[in-house]
Amino acid sequence: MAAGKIGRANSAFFKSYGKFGATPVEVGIVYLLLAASTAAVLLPFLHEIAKSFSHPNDVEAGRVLLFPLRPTLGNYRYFLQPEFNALPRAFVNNLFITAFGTLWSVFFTALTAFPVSRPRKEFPAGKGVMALVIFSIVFAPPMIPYFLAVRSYGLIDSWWSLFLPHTVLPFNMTLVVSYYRGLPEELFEACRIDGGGDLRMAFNIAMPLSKPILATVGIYTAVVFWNMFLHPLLFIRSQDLMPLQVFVRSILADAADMAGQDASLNLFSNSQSSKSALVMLTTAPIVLVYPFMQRHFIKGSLSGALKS
Amino acid sequence: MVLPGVAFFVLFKIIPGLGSVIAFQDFNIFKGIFRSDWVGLDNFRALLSYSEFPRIFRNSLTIGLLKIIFTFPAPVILALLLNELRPGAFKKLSQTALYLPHFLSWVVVSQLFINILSPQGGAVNSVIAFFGGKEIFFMAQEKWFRPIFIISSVWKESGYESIIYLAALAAIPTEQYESAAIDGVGRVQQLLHITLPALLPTIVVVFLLRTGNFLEVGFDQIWTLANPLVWSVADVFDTYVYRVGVLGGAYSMSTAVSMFKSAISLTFLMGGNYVAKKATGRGLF
Repeated sequence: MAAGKIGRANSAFFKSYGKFGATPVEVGIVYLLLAASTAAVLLPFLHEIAKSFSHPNDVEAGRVLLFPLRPTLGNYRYFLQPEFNALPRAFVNNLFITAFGTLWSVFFTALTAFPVSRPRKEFPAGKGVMALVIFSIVFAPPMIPYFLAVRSYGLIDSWWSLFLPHTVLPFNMTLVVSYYRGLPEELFEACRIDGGGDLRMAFNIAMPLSKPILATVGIYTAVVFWNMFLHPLLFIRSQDLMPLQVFVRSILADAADMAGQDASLNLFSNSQSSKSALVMLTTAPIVLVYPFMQRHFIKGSLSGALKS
Repeated sequence: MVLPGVAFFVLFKIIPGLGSVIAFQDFNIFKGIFRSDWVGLDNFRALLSYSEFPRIFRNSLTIGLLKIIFTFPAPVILALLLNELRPGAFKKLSQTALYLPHFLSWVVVSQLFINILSPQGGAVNSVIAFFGGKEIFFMAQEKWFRPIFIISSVWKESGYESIIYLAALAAIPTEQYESAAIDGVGRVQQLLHITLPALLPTIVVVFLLRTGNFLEVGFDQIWTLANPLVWSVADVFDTYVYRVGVLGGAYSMSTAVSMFKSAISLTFLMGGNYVAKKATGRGLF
């Protein structure tokens, strides 16, 4: 069988590189395209890192590509000056908002998900609540009525305007509900026989056993809070309360407005290299925790995929 | 146990949704929603006669459609490519890299693009200059805004969105490929006859969800990427509502814009669902 030979002749090659039936040229093309895509994602970061550690004049002249020239920490130090004390503050604000917001949201999402996950005879309203959740995934409330509602609740210029609207993240809730439903029912029955109520079942059985999905959901939520832009733009007024993204955006936007007319005293102020440093400072926390997140978010998006 | 959650949905989803009625009012912040005057369709009429409206309408549709056309196939292609690799260091590296941008904010990603395209030290202009070309101020030219918008969308989300297709690909039994390979069927033919048919249901569902919210072009992205020089091609429903409504205080008028947008979205969702059902026998509902 000539055809059979094709499969077997190259089996050592396929084992290590391609899949059955692929020719070496095809495998080569796949590698080439993926290497190009990977480079397209990574090179911009390397370029920014190189610029952020380079002398502003070298950057301005376009001499810095992937390696720093006349290495300096000045671009980073520039943002630590007293006149920029708002940046460390925004950074700390963001850390707190992300930490508290994530705990707040994951707790209420896990709590709301529990009754909804129970069989219909036990919690008849479950289906209705789930309909509410799906509805709010499909239809986002329009911006102005949303803004007016939050304002009428008296939340303007308070971090509660960031936490409360994210009390339950609908998509996260669908993930937790389907995870709870996969837990063995015998555990809940045993709990009830031992005289445990609904709260006990939720807190002592469902939640501890759902740590993997709660971790996944926690990552999604933390990213939402860390990157939050529109909510603080709408609801936060005082500089002291400003989270990172809005604050960074305002520095960058101001710099753009002043470009050209600012014959600055400081070498680093308003320079391209300091903008790169600011971008790297804002990115760093995500990149640092990213390796720990990777395992979890893939799992979460797979369970989402199976659902749909 | 369910009460805090339900209270949340009522307060932050349902009430703002019902609040859309101010589109039919001459809403006055001091009178509130119950005592403001009802004006029927006046806001919509005013909107349609507004000189800025056709531009925003056109921008939203164009950017939304371009975004679907270019960002929809990209993750499918990436997943198909990744699926060809055996597990190993290269696969791990490229997946790690490709998923990363999803987790960054638009403030960061937009600035990354602005910096790279900058005529002052941006890598792209350095390369253009190296080959003897003339520097281009990308961010200041209207004709470049949409390409940059699309490229940055693809750059940020394609990798992450490929995960859902990878999951579907992982579910295809390997025996199908093995027996095809033994029969001498090449990998390209396998792609056409095994992989794509198996992937179709996922593609249809994702496509429908995308058509339903194709007007959600992303406030963060436009707001951080655009600047006044390119505003005429960048301004969409969401940014318009923010500028005129939140910053300008024209509450009723901008809510009318939102309702207009929802109506279009709903039409596209229904239309897309109808077409998908006719073409593939599958739909969302």
